[in-house]
Amino acid sequence: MRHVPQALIEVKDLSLQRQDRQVLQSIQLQVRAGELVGVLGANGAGKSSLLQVMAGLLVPTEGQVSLDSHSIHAWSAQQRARYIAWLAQGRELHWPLPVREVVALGRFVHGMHAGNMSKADQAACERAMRSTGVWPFAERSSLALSGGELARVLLARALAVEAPVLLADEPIAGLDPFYQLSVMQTLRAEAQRQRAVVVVLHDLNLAARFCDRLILLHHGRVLAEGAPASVLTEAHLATAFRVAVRIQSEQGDNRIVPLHCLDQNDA
Amino acid sequence: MNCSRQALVLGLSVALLLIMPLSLCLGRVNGAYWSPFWAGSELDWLILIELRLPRTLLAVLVGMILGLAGAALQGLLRNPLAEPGVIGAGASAALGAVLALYFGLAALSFWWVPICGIAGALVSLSLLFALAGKKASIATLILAGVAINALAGALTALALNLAPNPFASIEMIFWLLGSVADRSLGQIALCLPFLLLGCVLLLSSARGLAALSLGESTAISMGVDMARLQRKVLLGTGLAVGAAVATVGNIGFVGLVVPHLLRARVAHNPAALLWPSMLGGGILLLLADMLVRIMPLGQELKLGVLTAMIGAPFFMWMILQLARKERV
Repeated sequence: MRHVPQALIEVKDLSLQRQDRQVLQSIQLQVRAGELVGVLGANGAGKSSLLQVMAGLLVPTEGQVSLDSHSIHAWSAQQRARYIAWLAQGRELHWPLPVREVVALGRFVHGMHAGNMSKADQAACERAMRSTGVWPFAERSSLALSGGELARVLLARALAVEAPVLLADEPIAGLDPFYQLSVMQTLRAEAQRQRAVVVVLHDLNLAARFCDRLILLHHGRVLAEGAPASVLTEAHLATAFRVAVRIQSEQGDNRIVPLHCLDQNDA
Repeated sequence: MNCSRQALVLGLSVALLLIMPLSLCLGRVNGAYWSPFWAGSELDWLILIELRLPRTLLAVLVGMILGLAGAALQGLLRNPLAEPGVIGAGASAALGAVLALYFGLAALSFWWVPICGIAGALVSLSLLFALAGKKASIATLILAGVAINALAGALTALALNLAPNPFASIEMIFWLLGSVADRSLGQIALCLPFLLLGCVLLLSSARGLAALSLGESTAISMGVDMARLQRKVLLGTGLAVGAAVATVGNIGFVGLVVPHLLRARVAHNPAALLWPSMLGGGILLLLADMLVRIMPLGQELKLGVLTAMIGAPFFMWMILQLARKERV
């Protein structure tokens, strides 16, 4: 059996304040290589902020994020970029570049420039495009893409970095069921390649099914963390999302069925 | 893919090198438009060295700067309708030059107009960074640029309004219209360091501009120092365009039109657009100046007037295209 690897990315006593609002408070999180960790929580619970702090985009008010036991602030921005790939929630693309060139931007952090792609760059891009299903339209202009296609192209860009840590903010929002499953399988496969993958999700059932561990945020604090079954309880979901749910057990899988909204007082 | 981009840069370079000798032969002498400099008379050489060489070099250099700065600024702002003029350095350079004319410094030495123009551009750049602060967003920087533009325009109007005599105001207006005619090699040498420095700053921003296609946050996550990228593009544009305007006056629309014409050829990649746009700008402005020289008008049309006459309708056409795309 392999020894338990050290956490690849670790969040310690992390707090973040933005304009008098406590966005994150005393967050602890460790993600090891090979793990797929889901971040859940209601809108405004601090999920995206947590990912942005982990990616080095926001500076925490207190606490720190470390990569391989070194604080990420000790790393240069370029070093950090090779180590952490971050997929933004908003699907921004400002010029209608061909799909292939959008994905190639993932190799940017490895010094690829103006199309001088090494064999390794080309292999990484092809792998990323095949695993996200965008390979068939690699030559197409991204102007002609549907929202779901663009989402997968941008995911392929993040995968092409081949960074040890992948942070994906709502990668399956707006995708049809086929691609929701397909993207989750891709993320799972990335974890199996000894990457540490952290993904923000709103689909509780997919989170339960694909993630090794979940962290449930509520008003910027960790409400629950651990195996999906221990996090996705009726009580936790009532507190975090203000919904009553029924949890059905089916062949070892837990299905979460939202029933109705709760008043704030009920929670 | 990259072969076609290299071919584009090579093709534009060759075209520019071919057009330049033509430009050296073109111009009205004794009623004829074509007078090759190799014909050998002393007058032909004088015309070549004193008139056509500076004129040709200046048209190429200024066109290159405007094309490059337009492409870089559009990449930074992620807006195809952005123009080097938006940051106010050009208008401030024009103000500096007009003040040199207003106070009669130009009569003392022809160096004063470009020197005051460059000083105007430098002052406006300091003002831009002071107004917007160190960690300004792009939107704030542009607003600061618009404000500086407006102020420089107002002060230029004031100088015209209070001109000591009609000749002075005509001199100022003619200078503002923009022309590469009657500049000396010395004036080119004066603005050259600024053009080169601006060029280096703008060309070195290519990588950052490519990453910026994915938005600011993603670019930062890719290791791009956004504040540095902004400084590079704005300082590069300000120095180069400021020095160019200080030497030739206002020449609009080249920075807008050239990147637009070439963008599809480089698959809309903002980094790959810089070199072609620079070369294309040089070609376009040189051709425009050659056209100005052979137009059968009583008085030579100012180059800035011609670029505006062609550029403004082109700009309208661009907006129409954009509106049509939005409607679909």
